[in-house]
Amino acid sequence: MKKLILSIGLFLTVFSLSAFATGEKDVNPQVLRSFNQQFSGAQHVSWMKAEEFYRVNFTQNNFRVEAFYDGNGELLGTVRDILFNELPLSVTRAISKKYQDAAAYEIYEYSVGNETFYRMKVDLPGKTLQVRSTISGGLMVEKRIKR
Amino acid sequence: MMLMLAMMFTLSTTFAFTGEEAVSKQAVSNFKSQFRTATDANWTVGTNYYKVEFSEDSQKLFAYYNFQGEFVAVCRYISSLSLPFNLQNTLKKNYSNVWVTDLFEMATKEGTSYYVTLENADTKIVLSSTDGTTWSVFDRTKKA
Repeated sequence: MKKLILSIGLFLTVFSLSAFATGEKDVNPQVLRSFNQQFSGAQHVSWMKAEEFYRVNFTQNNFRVEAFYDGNGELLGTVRDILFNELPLSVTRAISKKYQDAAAYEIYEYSVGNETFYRMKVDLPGKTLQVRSTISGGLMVEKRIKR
Repeated sequence: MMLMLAMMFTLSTTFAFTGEEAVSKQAVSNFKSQFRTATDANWTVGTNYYKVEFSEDSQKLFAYYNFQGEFVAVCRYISSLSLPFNLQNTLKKNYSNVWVTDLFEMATKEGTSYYVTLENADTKIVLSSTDGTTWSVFDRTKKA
């Protein structure tokens, strides 16, 4: 799990610091081929490149998705925007049990390699928590956000 | 036990309808405590479990309790788009020549698992996933 978090953190850091938008014609053909194979039917596609990595934002089946590739066309991970009811039941039950009726929003599903985890914000009186959950509902507060 | 429950869910094992008053008080109490906003609860009794079908947050759910009233599992039918992304992609990659006829999610104290029924003209196969990433064959039958 630590490796997973570090990987996602690395991608997001690299892209926040040094990424630039790139047109599809300038995307490595291997990367483009992998993307088109894995995400056929993707719409509203936009590419960014940072060092040897690519990030592609797109929508598929009404979900907003970000996918990360290395220069060899290997899919490194995806981040998907989802709704509370689209979380695994174990996660929604864990959230409801721990935080009662608190609102959970900005919910993302992260998939890196063979691992999946979820991240979301939870509003409590006077504060907002950024919470991470395993697919089985193991929760961890990542940080408190002052309101 | 989970295997049996999953088989019951996939094979639509018959449960007999029963009123809440005939169900273990512990089961009803646990259900009401775990699913505080549940509505339209209907209880049925099977060979080994109580099953309660109910609605919560606009979803149809099925919860199972043993005869001691202990929570066993909660299930719901889902669309393949609601599967974790890794599972969706594996299905698409390895099973593109079959169609999905059934898909449900089961949550127990241990975590979440998914069961999908895939069919083509000759075969019916049920896959399961307990890690949210990989599928394994749960059941396979040849059609007559």
